[in-house]
Amino acid sequence: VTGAEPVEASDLDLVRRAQAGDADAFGELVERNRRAVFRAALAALGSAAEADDVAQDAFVMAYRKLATFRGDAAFRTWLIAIAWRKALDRRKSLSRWLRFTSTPPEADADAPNWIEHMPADQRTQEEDLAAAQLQNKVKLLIRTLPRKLRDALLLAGSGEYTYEQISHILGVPVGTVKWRVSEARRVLKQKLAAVGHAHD
Amino acid sequence: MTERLWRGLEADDTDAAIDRAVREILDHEPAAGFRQRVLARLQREPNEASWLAAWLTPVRLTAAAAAAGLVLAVMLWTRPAAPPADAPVVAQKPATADPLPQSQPKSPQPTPAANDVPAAANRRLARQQPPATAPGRTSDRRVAAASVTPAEEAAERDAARSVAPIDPITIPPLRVQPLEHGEILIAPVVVGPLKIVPLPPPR
Repeated sequence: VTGAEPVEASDLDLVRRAQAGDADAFGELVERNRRAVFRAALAALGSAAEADDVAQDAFVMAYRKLATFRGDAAFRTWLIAIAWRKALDRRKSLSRWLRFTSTPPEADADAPNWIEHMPADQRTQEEDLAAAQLQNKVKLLIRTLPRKLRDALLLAGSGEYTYEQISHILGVPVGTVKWRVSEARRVLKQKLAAVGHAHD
Repeated sequence: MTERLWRGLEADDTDAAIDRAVREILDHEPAAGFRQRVLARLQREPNEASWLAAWLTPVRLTAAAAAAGLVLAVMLWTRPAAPPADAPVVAQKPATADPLPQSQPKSPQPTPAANDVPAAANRRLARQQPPATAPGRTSDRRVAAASVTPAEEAAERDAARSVAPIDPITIPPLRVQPLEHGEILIAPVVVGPLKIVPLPPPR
């Protein structure tokens, strides 16, 4: 096809070439999928450094198991499932995960004071501060969610994966994934209401 | 006041706040050079299984087995013959101390190797052992072996070879016969008449 635009090889093509020993093809697969793999690990671990390490482990393992990949599922889904299992193994062994999941400190316990002391003509800034405060509170509350709910919420909220992919990663039906995401949101709203924030 | 402010954030409903919080939590990228690091690791860490399979050729397996056999032979050759102080005691104990006919000696029989060691060597080794050691324990064997120089050990081994093998001491089973005793006769006590002899007069 002389003169045509070079067609980007599909993941499956690259996998076939990598299975035949083409290291550059596997490098291209790494480049294409590194972010999705990294974010899955990050959702499980909550630490960028640990997630980077686990993502590397996942690619190394995927390369060694490449001969077993038959193409029944998308390569990315297969790869992320490997990364997720590795991240869960790491999560079990990390004591810092205890800190990550521990009850967050009440960092904004004195927030009403500084808001009330702001001048009346800075209403927009007050609102921005209130929004930022809400944001931080939600982040802290997400860490207090049960693991299954939090995992589903973070994977779905990352924008990297479809519900089908998350279902494959977590090993549960799509309906369960959706329920967990919905339940996570409901619990978060309940917790926000308990600390004095309610829109309903 | 705070609640009033939060209620003022109508545009930012809670769902949107949750979405933003999730994105913030995951707002990280893999460190630079990720692809190069993965490929470098693949080159640096070959597959363990394939490495092992490549290494374990039949020739190497045979060589490893031969080396293991050689090490075992050397260990057996340099090992002390037996706990020497036990042999005479075990052999003599039942003959004098155990009167029951059906009982067998409780300690294990002396090994042929122990019987091969001459009595003089046994006594010397027994003297070299610390008095409080319990025979048969690994650590004690190490202490006993360390206390004999290789030259002494070789001389004792030569002496053991020059002495004819001693037959193991066989102890016939002891038989306890019932104690037989005749009728006990009690003879009557006869008291004869007393005689009073007068003392001689003092000088």
